[in-house]
Amino acid sequence: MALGMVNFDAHSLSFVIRWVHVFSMAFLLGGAALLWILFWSAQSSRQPENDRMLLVVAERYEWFFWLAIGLLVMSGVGNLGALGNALPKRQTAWGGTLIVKLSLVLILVVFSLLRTLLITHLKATGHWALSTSGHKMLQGAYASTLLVVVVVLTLALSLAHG
Amino acid sequence: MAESPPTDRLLVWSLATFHTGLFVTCLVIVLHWNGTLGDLLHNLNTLIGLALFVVLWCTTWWCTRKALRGITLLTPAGLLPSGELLSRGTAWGGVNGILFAVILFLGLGISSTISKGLTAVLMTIVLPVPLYALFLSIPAFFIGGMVGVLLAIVDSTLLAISQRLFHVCK
Repeated sequence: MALGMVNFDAHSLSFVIRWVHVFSMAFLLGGAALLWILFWSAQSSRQPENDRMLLVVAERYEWFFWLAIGLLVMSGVGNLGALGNALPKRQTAWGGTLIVKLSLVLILVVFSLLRTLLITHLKATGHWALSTSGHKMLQGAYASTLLVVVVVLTLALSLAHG
Repeated sequence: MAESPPTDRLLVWSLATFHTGLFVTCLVIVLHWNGTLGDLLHNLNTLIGLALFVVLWCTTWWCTRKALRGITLLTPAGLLPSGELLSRGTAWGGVNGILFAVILFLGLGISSTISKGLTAVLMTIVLPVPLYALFLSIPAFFIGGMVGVLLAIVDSTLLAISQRLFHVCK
């Protein structure tokens, strides 16, 4: 073994990697759903204090969102590594689904960076009170995040199912 | 040296993770597309693969932090002309390439010679590091710089879009 003296149980390692992958995905999904619901609920009673609280929660989510994305990419490659030579080629249905899933992950990270930059701009410049269109935009951003995450999750389940 | 405010830390953290995630995901797609991903992962120990990702994540965070130091991206008037962001992206991307290559070389070298004892590790891996670093640094800087400039173009585009969205929100 390349690591020399250290001998790890491959089965346990694979379990830990899958656990990290599922846990991170659950966080992304739950957090995006919660923020979408919070923005949606606050629509009817727009108050500067509500907007401020929403932005604070959103900022906290963004910190953990990027942690979860990093862990998802890392554990995702680890999951593929468990397949090794048995990894189906891209011409197969499984391989094609993997390409679609990874492409959606690329779209998710690009649009999520836009969302994070927007939250960062608002906080840094002290714009706690959102305009109506701004409120709708952020609500839409979390709804879109939720939608893409659900599609990625469905494709991931399809890949895991075989 | 002054500490960056909390919002800047989120900017650095999100950009660093974005860069690492985008780079690795694109690499996996390309390797899967040309049919070499399975063989590569088969020959790579899982723990070493995970450790390499963590190293890349850490070096990218450090280089992103350095690249953004002293500049203000968050206020509309302070948005950098794209030229400066591109030059910083190229330079710090190159540094990231060197850091990653040296750590990769040290990690793989030490893990493959550790069974021969500490003296062998010192003589064949640790002591000649400056020599290896010299040879590794040129291609590593070039590759890192290329990736860095591409990511800086993506960053500049997304920053410009987010500026427009910000005006709608406030």
